[in-house]
Amino acid sequence: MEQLRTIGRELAMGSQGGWGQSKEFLDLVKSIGEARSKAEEDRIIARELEHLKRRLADPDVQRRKMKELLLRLVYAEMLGHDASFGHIHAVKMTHDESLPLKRTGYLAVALFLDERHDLVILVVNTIQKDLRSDNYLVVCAALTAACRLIGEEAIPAVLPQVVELLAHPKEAVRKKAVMALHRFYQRSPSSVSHLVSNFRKRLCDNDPGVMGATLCPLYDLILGEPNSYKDLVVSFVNILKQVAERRLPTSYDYHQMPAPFIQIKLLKILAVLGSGDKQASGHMYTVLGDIFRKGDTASNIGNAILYECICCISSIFPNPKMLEAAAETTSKFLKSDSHNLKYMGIDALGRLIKINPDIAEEHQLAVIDCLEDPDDTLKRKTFELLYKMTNSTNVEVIVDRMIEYMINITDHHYKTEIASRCVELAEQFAPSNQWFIQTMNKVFEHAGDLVNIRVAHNLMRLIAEGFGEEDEGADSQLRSSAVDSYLRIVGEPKLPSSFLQIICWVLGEYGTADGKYSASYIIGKLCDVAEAHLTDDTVKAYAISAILKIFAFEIALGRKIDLLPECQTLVDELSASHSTDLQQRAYELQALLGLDKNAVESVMPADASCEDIEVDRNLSFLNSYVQQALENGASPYIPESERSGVISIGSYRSQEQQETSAHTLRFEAYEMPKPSLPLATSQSSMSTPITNLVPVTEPGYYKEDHQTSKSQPPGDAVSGEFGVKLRLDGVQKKWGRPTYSSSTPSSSTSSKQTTNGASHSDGGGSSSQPRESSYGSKRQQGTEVSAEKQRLAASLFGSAAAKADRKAQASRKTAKDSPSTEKVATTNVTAQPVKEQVIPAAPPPDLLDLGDEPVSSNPPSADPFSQLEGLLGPASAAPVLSGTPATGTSKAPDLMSIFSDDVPTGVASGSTDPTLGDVNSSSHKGTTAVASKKGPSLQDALQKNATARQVGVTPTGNNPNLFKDLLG
Amino acid sequence: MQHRGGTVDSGKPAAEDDSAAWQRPAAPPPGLGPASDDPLCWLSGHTRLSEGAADLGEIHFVLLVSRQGKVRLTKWYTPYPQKQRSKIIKEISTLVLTRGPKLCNFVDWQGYRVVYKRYASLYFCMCIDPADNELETLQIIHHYVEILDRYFGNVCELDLIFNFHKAYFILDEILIAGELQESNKKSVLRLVTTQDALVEAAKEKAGSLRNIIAQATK
Repeated sequence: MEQLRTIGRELAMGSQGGWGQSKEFLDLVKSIGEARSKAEEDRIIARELEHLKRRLADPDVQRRKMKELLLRLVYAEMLGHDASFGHIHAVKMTHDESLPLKRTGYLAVALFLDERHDLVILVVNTIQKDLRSDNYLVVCAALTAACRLIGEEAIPAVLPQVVELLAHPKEAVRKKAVMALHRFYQRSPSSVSHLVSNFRKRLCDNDPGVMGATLCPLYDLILGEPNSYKDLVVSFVNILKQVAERRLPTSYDYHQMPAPFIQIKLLKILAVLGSGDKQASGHMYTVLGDIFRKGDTASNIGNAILYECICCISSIFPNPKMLEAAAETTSKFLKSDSHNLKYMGIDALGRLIKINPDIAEEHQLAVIDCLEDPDDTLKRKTFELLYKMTNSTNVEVIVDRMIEYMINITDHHYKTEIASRCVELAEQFAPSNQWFIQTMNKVFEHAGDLVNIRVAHNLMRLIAEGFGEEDEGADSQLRSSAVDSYLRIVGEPKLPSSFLQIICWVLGEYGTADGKYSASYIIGKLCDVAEAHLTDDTVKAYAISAILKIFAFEIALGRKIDLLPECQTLVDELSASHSTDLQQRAYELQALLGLDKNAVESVMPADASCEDIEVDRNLSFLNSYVQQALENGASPYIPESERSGVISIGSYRSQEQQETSAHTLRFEAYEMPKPSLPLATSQSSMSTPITNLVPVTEPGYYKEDHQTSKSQPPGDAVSGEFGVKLRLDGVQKKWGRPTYSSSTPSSSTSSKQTTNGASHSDGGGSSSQPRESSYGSKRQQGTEVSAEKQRLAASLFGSAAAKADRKAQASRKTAKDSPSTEKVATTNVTAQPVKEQVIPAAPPPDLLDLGDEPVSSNPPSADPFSQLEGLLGPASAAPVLSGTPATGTSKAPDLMSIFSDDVPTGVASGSTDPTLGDVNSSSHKGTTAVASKKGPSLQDALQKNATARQVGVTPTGNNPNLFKDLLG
Repeated sequence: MQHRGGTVDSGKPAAEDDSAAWQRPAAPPPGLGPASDDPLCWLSGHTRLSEGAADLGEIHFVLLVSRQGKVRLTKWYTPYPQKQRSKIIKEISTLVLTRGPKLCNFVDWQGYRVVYKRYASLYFCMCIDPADNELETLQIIHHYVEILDRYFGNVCELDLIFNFHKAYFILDEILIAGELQESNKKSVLRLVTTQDALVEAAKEKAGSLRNIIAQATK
């Protein structure tokens, strides 16, 4: 119906040509609108393109007509069709004298081409010329195109002009020149680096727009090297303060917020500058506090600023008061009905718990609500938060949840991400090996092809090694349970390859170990695996090796077994395989069958996978051979590092990458290769045969000695040869059960740091300041909360909650007075000394109480925060706080006065355009601003309606004002 | 044009003087190194902030699709080949169009975040890095729509269909290379209308010429 209506309108508008376009174009758009299928649309566009090709080739076509043809080309390309034949015409049009045509030309070129396109070279010249034009509109158009089209090589051609334009009298030009320079800097920092001081200069441009634009390049520069811009901290803080105090022209207001986009950019910059810098952060606290106090949680843009403030606070040097304010705003977000705000709240919480993990616990039910929300985006964000707050006590619940979610999604990208997160968390925090193996099985079953193969090797190693310090009985129990579960699962279709490899390996090593299953049963299963995965050579190799091992164990035990017919077929098939690896394995199996017991025992010792393999990395046993060679006149080996002029393979590759990425020619000549290379006794070439000598039970899975792997640098040639280097350092003690049951916070934190270097803080971490938790009271009122949710909350936040309980008991007296409102009090009374925590005015006791909030199905009728804001009001009027901004203002260099001085010119130019003037007059009352703006547009709508009716088609429904919810 | 803020100094200080004042170090620089004595300093969320800013602007592309999945406007700030563009458009329109009401205005897509908002029958989508401020992007969309609304006078989808080049011109005044360049609605409108005025002037000129010729040939 809606579609019909649209078509009806298109019909109406199209036939009367009310939009200044030609009939042909309107017809095209109309027919596209009417197209019933993509195929039909494609046909129409193909016809149109044929037509355009003919018309464009016509030399006599009018220039104005040409403009429209180009627009039609843009239209076709927008719909996903190739219009490359017309690109050259767009380039030609940029040469045109008249501005409208030139502008259209630039628009089309910027849409058609990018900096890597061949035709760009033809545009550069035009841009160069236009940058020198007297008409500032031409210059603007050229600058806009330059941002899109000037690649690294062309930057020098236009750079001098762009720099000159930084001092152009028109602010629009200056602004665009800044943006263009910024773009050049992004493309090739080296070519613009000497001009960086220009950005600093533009920061104090008369025009706030230019100043705002300058923040973009400065942000990038500061991200690169924050330390060289620390001197600007005070300036940025001053600008932010003045913006927040509404000292910019009101035309920069957006929904009654003063220049919010500039504020946000400044906050981003301050976050970088204050990161880990106590002194710089010290300058920011006042203004951040001001912004929080003025924060408008009713509008989207107000919340955007508040969110950016929270980001800033979580990034700079922590300050308790600021954190309180941030936590409070976060809880407002979380308690909001809007999904967007909940989402931002979850994100903010994730940032804040890095600094103080206790903050999360207050919001546990809100978090769980978000986790169970039908909105996928919110759910994912919550998983991100959970990932950040995982510790050894809640890991089981969190990972189980993640896996449950992972199973049901189809989005490949996200599935990979969540699977690798599950693995990471399980590796870090696994409470028991049993659990770890089960979890890994689940991950492999559902996303095996998406996780790193390293994880599979780790899992095999764990099953093989057991837990080191524990008794052998538990180990073998674990192994047989693994075998049980794998035998159960192995018949299932569509198992990922890496999972099958694990299954084969485990069955081969331990399938018959406990005597529960007969050798022939296991071999039969393995044959099935090999048969079911004909195309996967790796799986087949694992399977045949597993069969080989089982035969070896049986022979070693003195039992006689026959080759099953299906096994015989498999061996025959593999002996004739194209893969030499498979062939070799098959022949090895056949050879082994012919050996006697003693030989088999020494070739294939039972449970050899756990034995440490000594690798003589210095290859000392070859010394005599080398010595002999040297005596026979061979030249000695020169280590790679001492050789010059010969590029090792590794560094060559990286150099090649650099070259391809830089797209530049090398001009210096290659050095002559050194004539005499010592005969190939280089370590890397030697190591290959050596490793083959080592009795490795499983070729794909290599065991290394702990000590050696630790002592070797990662880039070592030998370990590189193994490809799948296990990450052994520090892993083992994690899997040990006792470590986890009694893990002290400090030790677990340190181990976390070593494993992934990320900044996780666990719930057991020490809280920075003593604060009352509302958890105790929540528990009491929690009868309304569904039991399931509470259980989940307890398991997620368990340890922290327990701790909070203890804390609450310790200071029960204060808790009784105002258990949950105390937090509000501390933030409100920021002016008062911190130790005086009792609030003078008693607010409603359950204001911040989360206990019943998430359960009540109906939204809270009156916003509880309006009361809170009432509380905040007097606080903001506190003498200390209101005093600081005042003194700050007088001290600050009066930057914004420049902007204000600029106003008269603004008025002058504004008055030339009476249609816009009305917006200004109503700057104080937002509502009237909207109304006056709506006035003329309503007329417009009526006019459109009338034109439509004239043509005979009455738009069904109300009026064509499709955007009526625009400002609602 | 009005402005708030009472304490405005009389006399216009020279810009250069001011810049000098700003570049004066705010504090003695030696203490600027990371505060090593504080155990928390390394925890700050700096890593996430720096992720997206490698070589791109904030916004990777802007996409306008109708409720029927028809493309109304595309602007690519990160260069993608044509084939990939069609794929992206398809993926994102299915993602966005199938989302129910009252859900977040943000969707994950291939490790990026798509911020979208529906205005009547049109979906405005912008793709940003996951580290960016989603609410801000949402407001950038709204900012654009408000400007369109003022320019076209109660804009509707048809305005954008038939005048998509104007929508492009306006977008170019708001975003450059994926960054917000102007947050002042009036400056944007002023610039766009000035350019339009030139077009009108050119048209009139052409029209009058034609009239003269027509009269002469009569």
